[in-house]
Amino acid sequence: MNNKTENTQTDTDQASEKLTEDKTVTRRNFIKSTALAGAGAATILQNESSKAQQTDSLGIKIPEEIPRTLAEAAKPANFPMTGAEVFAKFMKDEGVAGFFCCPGNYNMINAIAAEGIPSYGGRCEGNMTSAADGFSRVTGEIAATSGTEGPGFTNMIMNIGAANSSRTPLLVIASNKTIGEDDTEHGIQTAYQQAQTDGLKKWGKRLITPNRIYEYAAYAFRQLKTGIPKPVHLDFPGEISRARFEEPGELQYYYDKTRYRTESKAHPNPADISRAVDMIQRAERPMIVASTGVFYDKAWDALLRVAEKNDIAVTESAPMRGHFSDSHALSASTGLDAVRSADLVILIGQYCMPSIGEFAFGPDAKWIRIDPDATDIGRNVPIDLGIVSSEKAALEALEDALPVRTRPEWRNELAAARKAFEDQSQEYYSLGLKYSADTESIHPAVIGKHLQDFLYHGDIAPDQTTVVSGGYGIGRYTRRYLRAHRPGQICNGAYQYGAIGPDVGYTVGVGAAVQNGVGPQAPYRGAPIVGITGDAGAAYSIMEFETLGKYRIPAIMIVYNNNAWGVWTSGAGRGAVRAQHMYLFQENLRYEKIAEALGCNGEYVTSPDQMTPALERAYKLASDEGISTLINCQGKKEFWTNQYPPSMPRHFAPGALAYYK
Amino acid sequence: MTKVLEVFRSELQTYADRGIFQNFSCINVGEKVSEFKFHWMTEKPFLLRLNVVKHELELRRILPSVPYRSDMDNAFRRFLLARCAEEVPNHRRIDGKRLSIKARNKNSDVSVSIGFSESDSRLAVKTSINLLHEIFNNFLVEGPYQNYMVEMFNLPEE
Repeated sequence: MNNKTENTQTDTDQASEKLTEDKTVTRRNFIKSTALAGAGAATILQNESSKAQQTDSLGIKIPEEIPRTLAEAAKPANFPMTGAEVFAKFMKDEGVAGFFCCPGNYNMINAIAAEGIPSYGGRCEGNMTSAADGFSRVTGEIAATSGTEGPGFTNMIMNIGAANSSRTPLLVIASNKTIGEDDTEHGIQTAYQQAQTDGLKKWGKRLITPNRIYEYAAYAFRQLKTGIPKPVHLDFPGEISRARFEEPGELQYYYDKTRYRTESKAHPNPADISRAVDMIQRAERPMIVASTGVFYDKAWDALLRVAEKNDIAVTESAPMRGHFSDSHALSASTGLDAVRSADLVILIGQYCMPSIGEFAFGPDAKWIRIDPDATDIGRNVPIDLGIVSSEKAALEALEDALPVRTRPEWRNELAAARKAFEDQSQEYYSLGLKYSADTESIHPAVIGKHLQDFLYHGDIAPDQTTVVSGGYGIGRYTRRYLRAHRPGQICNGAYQYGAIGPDVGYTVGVGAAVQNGVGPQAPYRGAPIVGITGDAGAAYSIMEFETLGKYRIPAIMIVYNNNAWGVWTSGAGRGAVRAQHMYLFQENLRYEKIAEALGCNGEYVTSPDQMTPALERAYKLASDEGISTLINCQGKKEFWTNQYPPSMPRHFAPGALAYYK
Repeated sequence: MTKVLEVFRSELQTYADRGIFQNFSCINVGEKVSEFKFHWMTEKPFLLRLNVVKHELELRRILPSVPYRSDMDNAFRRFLLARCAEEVPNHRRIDGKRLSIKARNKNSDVSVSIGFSESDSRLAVKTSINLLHEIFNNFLVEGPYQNYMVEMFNLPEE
C-alpha cells in the first residue's frame, strides 16, 4: 500500500491544461487536476457511492474558485515589482517549500502564491503557524507563515513559542498597518509586533525603509539558514509591501545569495576529535543522542556509519524522529533500560538542553557535546568534552578517525532492553484490554497497540506512514507503540513547549509535506498520514479539519476522548474544593461529528474490537479519495488514576517516549 | 577524619565537582556520624547519613508518605531485592555479598541503609549514588507514581 500522488501544487502547467480541456470546474476535475488530490483521486471520480458523494449530499462543496486558482500557472514577478513581490521572489529563490496562512497581509500572501510556493489557507493563524512548524519538522526545509496585523498576529503567538522551543526554521511574516499611522490608533488592529515575540524568536525586524527590503530578506535568511534554527519574525507595514521598484538599482544590497550568505559550516578541531575517539575507545557502553541538529544538517547517513563502525548505541530525542531507525540493532530509542547503562553520552545537535536528571543517564556517565554553537556548550549539563562543529562535519570526522570495533556485550544489552520494553508494552496492552472490557470503553494502550499493528505489521510498509505524535495523556501511551524507521517519520508534537493544542495544525503541515513529497517525504508522496491528539488538544485546532478537507490532505486523526483535561486529577485531590468542574468536559462528546460537518469523515470507537476496522476504513478513504477521518476514541478519565495502573506513565527521556527534550 | 569518612567525602565531592550535585555540603553531627546534603534530580535535597563506626550509610527519607506495607512500600522492597538479581547487568547490579541493603519505614518515611566493610567504602558510596538514581529514574518512572511524584517532589504535572 505504498500510495503516491502524481501531482503537486507546483505542477500547475499540467493542471491548467487539464482544466482548460474540461472547461467546467467540478469537484471531480478539481481533484483530478490539482496536487490536492490524495493517492486515490481517480477512484473518487469513479465511485458514485463514495464518501465524497455522501459529503456532497450534506450540501458541502468545494467552490470552483479553489481548484481554478490552485491550478493557475505560477507567475513569478519581474521588475517593476512591489516590495511584496521582491520578498516573495526572494523566498522562492531561497527554496521556501511551504506557506501557511490566513488572509491578511494581502499583498504579501498573494505575491507568495503567485511565485508558485505551495500555499495553504486555513482557519486560524495559530494553527497555520503550527502547520508550517510541522512541515519543517518532517522535511528539514524552511516553511513560512503569515497573519494579518493585530488579532491575526497575536493568534500566532503560542504557536510561534512552540516552534521556538523546537528550534524550527520558521519564517513568520505578518502585516503591520502603516508606519504613517504609528501611535494614532487610526482604524483598527494597531499593535507593535516585535516586542511580542521577544524570547520566542531568533531574530526579528519591523521593516521601515522600503528600499532595504531585499537587504533585510538577506538578514532573515542568514538567520534561518545558519547556526541554530529558530523562528525569524518580519513585520511588514503597508509602506514596505506596497512600495514599487522599477529596476534593481533601486534596492539596497541587491545581489545573489552566494554573496549575502555562505553555505560554509564549522568543522571540528582535529585535537577535539582525537580526544573524542579516545573517550569512545575507553568507554564500554557509549551512546549517541541524535537530536534536532542531526536532522536539520541531514547527517543521518553519517550517523549510521559512525554507529556501525564502532558499535555505538544511538537514541533519539528531538521534535522529529527517525534519523536513526528504531529497528536498528544499535538503537536504544526503545531500549530504555540501556540508557541507564551508558558510560559515555555523546549529545549531537541537542539544541534544547536537558538539565541534570532530565535524561536518564547515570551519574557516572561522561558527556561529550557536539554543537554548532560554542556559546551553548556547557549549559545545564557539565561536559567532559565540547566540540564546536556542524553535526554532519563532526560525524564525518569521527567516522574517519574511529577504528572498527565490535561490542557484543553492549549489543546484547541493547537487545535485552528493547525486548523488556516490548514485553512491558504487551503487558500494558493486556491490562488495557481488561480495563476496556471493565469500563465499556477503549484504553489508550489498546489504541496504541492496534495502531502499531496497523501501521507496521500489516499491509502498509513500516516506513511509509508519517505520524504526528501529539496529545498529553494519550501520548504517554501511543509514543510507546509508534516507530520511526526513516528520517522525518514522526513529528513530536508537544516537544519541549508542551503545547497540546496545535496537533491538528501540525497534521495539516505534515500532510502538506507528504502530499508534496518534500525532502525525506519524497518516497512517500501522497500517502495518508496519521495524527494523534486528545480531546482537550483537539478543541484548539479541530476547525482545521476544514483545511484538511478543502485541500484533500489525506489524514487520519485519532482523538482520545476521556471527557477531561489530562491533568484532571489535580482538581480531584490534594485538598481541592469546588475545583473539579474546571477540569471536566461534558461526557461522550462527538468530535467525529465536527469532522463530518466540515467535509471530512468521522468514526466513533467505544471498544477495542472497533479500532482496527475504523483504521482500515479511514485509511482506505484517505488513500482512495484523499478524505480525512477523525476517529473519536471514547475512553475514561479514571484511567489516569492508580485504580488502573500504570495510570499516567511518567515521562522518560531520551528515546521513543521523550517529548520534554 | 576517619578513612571511611575521607573516602565518602572525596567521592561525593567529585560528583559535586563534575556538576552532578548542586549545593553539596558535609556536616559532622557527632564523632561517629556525618551528614551529606546535596540537590540532584528533584528540588528536595538528598540527605545521606554516614555512621563511620557501624560502617553504615543511610539514605534518609528518600520516599516520604509511603505507609508501611502499602503497595508502594512492598513494591519498593521488591525493587531493592531485584537490584541484586543476576538479570541486572553486571555494571548496575548491587553486590549483595559485599554490601547489605535494607529498607526501613518509619512514620511512613522510607529510608535505605547500606552496610559495608571499610575496604568497600568506595563501592558503598558509588552504589548509594547509583541506587538513588535508579530509584528516581527507574522505580518511580516505571511504576504508577505520576501523582506521587507531583505531590511529593513538586514535579510538573505535565
